[in-house]
Amino acid sequence: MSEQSEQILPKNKLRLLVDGKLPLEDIHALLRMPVKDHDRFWKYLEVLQERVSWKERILVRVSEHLYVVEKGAERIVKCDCGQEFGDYRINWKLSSLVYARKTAEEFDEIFTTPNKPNPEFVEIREFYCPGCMAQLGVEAVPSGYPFLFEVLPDIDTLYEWEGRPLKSASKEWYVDLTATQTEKWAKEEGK
Amino acid sequence: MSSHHTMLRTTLKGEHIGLLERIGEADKSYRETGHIFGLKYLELLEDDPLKFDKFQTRLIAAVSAARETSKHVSGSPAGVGMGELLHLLALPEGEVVASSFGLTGHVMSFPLIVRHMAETGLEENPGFRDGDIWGTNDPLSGGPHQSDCYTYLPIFYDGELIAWAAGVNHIADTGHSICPGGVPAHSPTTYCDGFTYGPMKIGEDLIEYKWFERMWMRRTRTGTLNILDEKMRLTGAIMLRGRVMELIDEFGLEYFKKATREILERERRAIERRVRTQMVPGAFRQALFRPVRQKGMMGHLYREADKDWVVQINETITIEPTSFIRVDCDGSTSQDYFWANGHRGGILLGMGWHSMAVLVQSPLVNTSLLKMIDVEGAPGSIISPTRTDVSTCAPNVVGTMVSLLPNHVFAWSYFLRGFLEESYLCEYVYSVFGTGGVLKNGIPWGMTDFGYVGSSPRGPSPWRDGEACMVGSGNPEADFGEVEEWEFVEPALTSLSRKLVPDMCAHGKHRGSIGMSAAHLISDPGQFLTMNTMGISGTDMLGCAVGVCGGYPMLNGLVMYLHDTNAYELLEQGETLPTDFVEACRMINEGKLKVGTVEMYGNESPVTQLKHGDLVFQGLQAGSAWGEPLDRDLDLIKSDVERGWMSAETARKVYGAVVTQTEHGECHVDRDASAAARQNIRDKRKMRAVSAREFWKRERSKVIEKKFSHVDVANMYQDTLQYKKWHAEFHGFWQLSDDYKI
Repeated sequence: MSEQSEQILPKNKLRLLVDGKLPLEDIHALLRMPVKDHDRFWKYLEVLQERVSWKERILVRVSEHLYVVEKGAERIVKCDCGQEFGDYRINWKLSSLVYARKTAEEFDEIFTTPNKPNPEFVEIREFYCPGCMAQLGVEAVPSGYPFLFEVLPDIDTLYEWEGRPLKSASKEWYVDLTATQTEKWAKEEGK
Repeated sequence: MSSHHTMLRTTLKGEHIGLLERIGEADKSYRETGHIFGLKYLELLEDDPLKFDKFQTRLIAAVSAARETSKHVSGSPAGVGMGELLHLLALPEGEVVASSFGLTGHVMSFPLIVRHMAETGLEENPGFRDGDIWGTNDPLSGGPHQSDCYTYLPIFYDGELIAWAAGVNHIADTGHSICPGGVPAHSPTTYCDGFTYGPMKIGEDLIEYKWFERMWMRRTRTGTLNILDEKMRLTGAIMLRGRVMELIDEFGLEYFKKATREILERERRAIERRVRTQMVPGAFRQALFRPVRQKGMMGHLYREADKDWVVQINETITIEPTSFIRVDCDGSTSQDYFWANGHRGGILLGMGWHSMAVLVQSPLVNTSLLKMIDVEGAPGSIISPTRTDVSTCAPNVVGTMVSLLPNHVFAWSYFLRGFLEESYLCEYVYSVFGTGGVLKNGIPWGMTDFGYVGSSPRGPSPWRDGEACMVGSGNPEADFGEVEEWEFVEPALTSLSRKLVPDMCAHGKHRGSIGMSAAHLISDPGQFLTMNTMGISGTDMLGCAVGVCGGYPMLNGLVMYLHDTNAYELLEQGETLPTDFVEACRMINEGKLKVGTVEMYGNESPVTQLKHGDLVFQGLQAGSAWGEPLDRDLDLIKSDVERGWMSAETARKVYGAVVTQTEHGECHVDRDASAAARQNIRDKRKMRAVSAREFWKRERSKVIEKKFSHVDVANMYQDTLQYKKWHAEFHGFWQLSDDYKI
């Protein structure tokens, strides 16, 4: 870490920021900085990596619990609990557990004031990690709506922006492959 | 200086270049070089930064002074009380180089107006002359909706058009034929949209034509206020024009021309740098749904509009390798005979006011953001209406909904890159209502109430909760509005309360802001009184489709009309009236509050007749949450219960937090019991959930059999699947045959 970076945001403070424990005055100071610490992304990755028990290299975070990691020649989504969700180009929701709230009674557990959703128009889908049962995503959509692919990061461009291109860089990494999975399922279902 | 002079003249081809050609040149140079006006080097800034800083400080002072002085000319509560007013300085091509505080989103719309004027030949007929006053509020010319009225002056120097000075504000009533006020939730055709004008010359020699005043009096319910607003906008624009002359006298014309351009390019570079160094590029998928109901309301008069819809806004937000942000709305609902047509001025206004705080760090509010972000939609959809007969009354609302989703993405993207301090869900969740009627003495009146526009929540971050009533909606003057000021112009509405409602929040690791409630008692309304509401909170389907990182999305709004109540009897008996809709429901159930009929709506209510003694409750502005609720710090939950923002029951049911409260209000959290309660919730999840594949298989068969939860949902798919990319996504996900049709 350079002296400039250390002055702006030392790693121990970044840890506090990630935990939501950094005092507000420090956060305000960060917001006022005309120039940010240039190596923030790398520090961030280190802080995230030290929090997980597994060894695969984190390439980028995609959610509170989920990361894209390098596993051999693959790039897969992995939960901080260790659960793996497969190729990151396929919406990770296809490897999750799903509970869809579809009735007023099911809505009542979460929406306790009278301005509740209307089950005739919307279902509330909750996506859980099969490993730790953490709630990874929520959708409020009409019946029949495809799973929303929240983020397909352009990892190679990100690493280029950071000035450290990945050796495995390829245009093939920035392609949505979700339909290949559902195509496979449809074939297996014989329809 | 001479070299700059030569370059400018070459670029502009002398003084006689037409406006359309000038805009074409600017577009071409940007397209070819990637720099605004082709400015590869910022010579003035680099040569003498102090002088440059002095110049831009003068610009800020000029636009600010125009606004702060002129607003006292008006008497409208929105303009004076809440500062729903903006003054801006634009280059001849329409690019806004500086604007005051106020409705900053308008810097994105004004360039469209100038382009429209150039494209429709207004430069030739009637022509632009020194001292002319121009005006418009037409969304087909680039304005966001009829309520937002622009008054602007061409600024000439030695016979050359060098800039525009403009004032814009949101007026009290537009003369909409169905909904008093200016934010109609029901508008079957553009011929109901109210007084729509321009772009047109409304005065000369800096004096407005007398007939224009008469139009305001004749075609709107609040003619006097609207004329005062007109004078307010004009006053500021004239002041600004004068300051520009002073600036040119001090700095010279060439410096003025070049420096204003350099400011825009400098700002564009700053946004580009910010995206490149602080965000994660990629494709982010978002959506938003909103039922629109007109069936049974339009009847025989507007048969073509007598239907219901589920409006779908689909978005893929891509942060591209060039740092450009593309918002592709393919698959959004088609234009129709309802309010939800998002003409471009409204869409860009939304992008401007939502994204300005998140992407732009500058002392100058300007148009540079337009060069780094764009919203696209299929022609004929609500994102890009092509018909001229559909309503143009609320593109600003569509624009705010469309622009909310990229702002979720920006927060997400900062979070993924590690810039957590910059990450927050910027959700301008405004609500407004229109009222109108005829007083006892026969005087008709109308009003748009902005009281809640100044109390949008601040969305949560990955490190803190959302906070209620924190910000104005694209307006820096955040407050609840002055209740007394609104009561003065809405004589039949007595304000009972504005307060936060316990448990009314989206749940998550960092919960959304606590929603607010407002209550009114109708007193002595005269011959008749109506009310209609509109806003950005959800209706029936929540405020947006994607919760962030496991948190729940923004809640619905609510409007509850209680007719024929015993409110005045209760007051005579010394009893207290309910202060929010939860209390009202409780008092009705207890039999204490007697009610003839109850009408309940989501965010938008139709025009509703109200009588003396009726009660109106609104629930508003409970924004989205961030993260998995079971990750929420137990001490934060305890604090919520202690402050009365959350019930112990909700804390246990949603968060698995076991909190007990003493009779003195002190709370205690049982950590062991909470750990067990959280494990129970996880076990319950495991028991109820199915694999994604199982879910897909089950739901796919319903999609194939066209069994959707409601006919409006089926109609939504039937309409939107005509759009190519969305068709491919839908078919790809469910693996449907090519001949599948709904």
